[in-house]
Amino acid sequence: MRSLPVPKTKAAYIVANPRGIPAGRHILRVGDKRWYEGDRYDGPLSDRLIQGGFVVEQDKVNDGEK
Amino acid sequence: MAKSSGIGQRLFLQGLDVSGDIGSFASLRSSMQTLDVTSIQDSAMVRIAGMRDGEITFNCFFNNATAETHDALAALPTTNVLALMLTSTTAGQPVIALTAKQVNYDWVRGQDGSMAGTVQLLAASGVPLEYGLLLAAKTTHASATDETGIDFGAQTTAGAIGYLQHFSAASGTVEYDLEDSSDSTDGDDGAWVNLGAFSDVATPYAAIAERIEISGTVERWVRASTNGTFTTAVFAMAFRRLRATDYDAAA
Repeated sequence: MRSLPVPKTKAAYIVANPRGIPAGRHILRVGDKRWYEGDRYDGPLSDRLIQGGFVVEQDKVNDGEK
Repeated sequence: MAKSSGIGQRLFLQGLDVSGDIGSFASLRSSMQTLDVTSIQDSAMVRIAGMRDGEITFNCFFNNATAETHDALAALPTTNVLALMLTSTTAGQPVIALTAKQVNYDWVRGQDGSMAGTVQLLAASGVPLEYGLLLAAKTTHASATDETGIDFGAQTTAGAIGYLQHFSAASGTVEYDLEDSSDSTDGDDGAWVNLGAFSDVATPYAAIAERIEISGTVERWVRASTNGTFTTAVFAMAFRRLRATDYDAAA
């Protein structure tokens, strides 16, 4: 019996700080919206943000905490 | 870019705009010593690169108004000062930066009654005279604002240098940042990442200047940004994109 396809869920991304920006300073900007280290990122995703380590998938963050 | 004159230049010195008291530059020097490594088998001189250096020497007028050039220059500070010379007040145009010791403050009184001063700045922090591009000339931000970004044309991976001249602020805490973007189309849209943060500036808002070093990848667009909650910050910001062939990357 074939199983039903698992619905794809949109991954959640957390803002990281690979450049070592001082605490309290924003990491990302789109227009007037600012994201700080540890914020859930809900802006437009791009390869640059992911590959540059500026946003990290929530699951990977949780795995790292185990 | 095209041939241009020396008209319309500026000199900012450790957060003070001294442009109105400067009559001329006697020297804007970026130099490199050479080391003679000529051997007995060579038939002509062989030299390799040695120490680099930098100098800015300017001639000034006497101005003893409060917090103007005499107050700043007569102190002959023993700490380094950051000089930023603008070839133009247009963003994207070249600047010269030098972290230096101010080694003199000399005067000649002419028979015609003139007072002619000379000040020499010599490189003092292991960094020679540097060339960069202007991101924001002496600019006032009433509150947190972004300057229009400059398109450098391509991403680089050898880091960068940022220069800040903070002149004044009225209230709050000013956060001066450099931001870069890979997907902007006009220097305003797109996603921007904090590239480098200068020190917070808070009361009493004394004039300061700062040079910061940034490592790694820098995207093609770069802009000056003010953040935080403040009123009426006056500043200038410039940027030098490092390349693999630069003196500090080749060491």
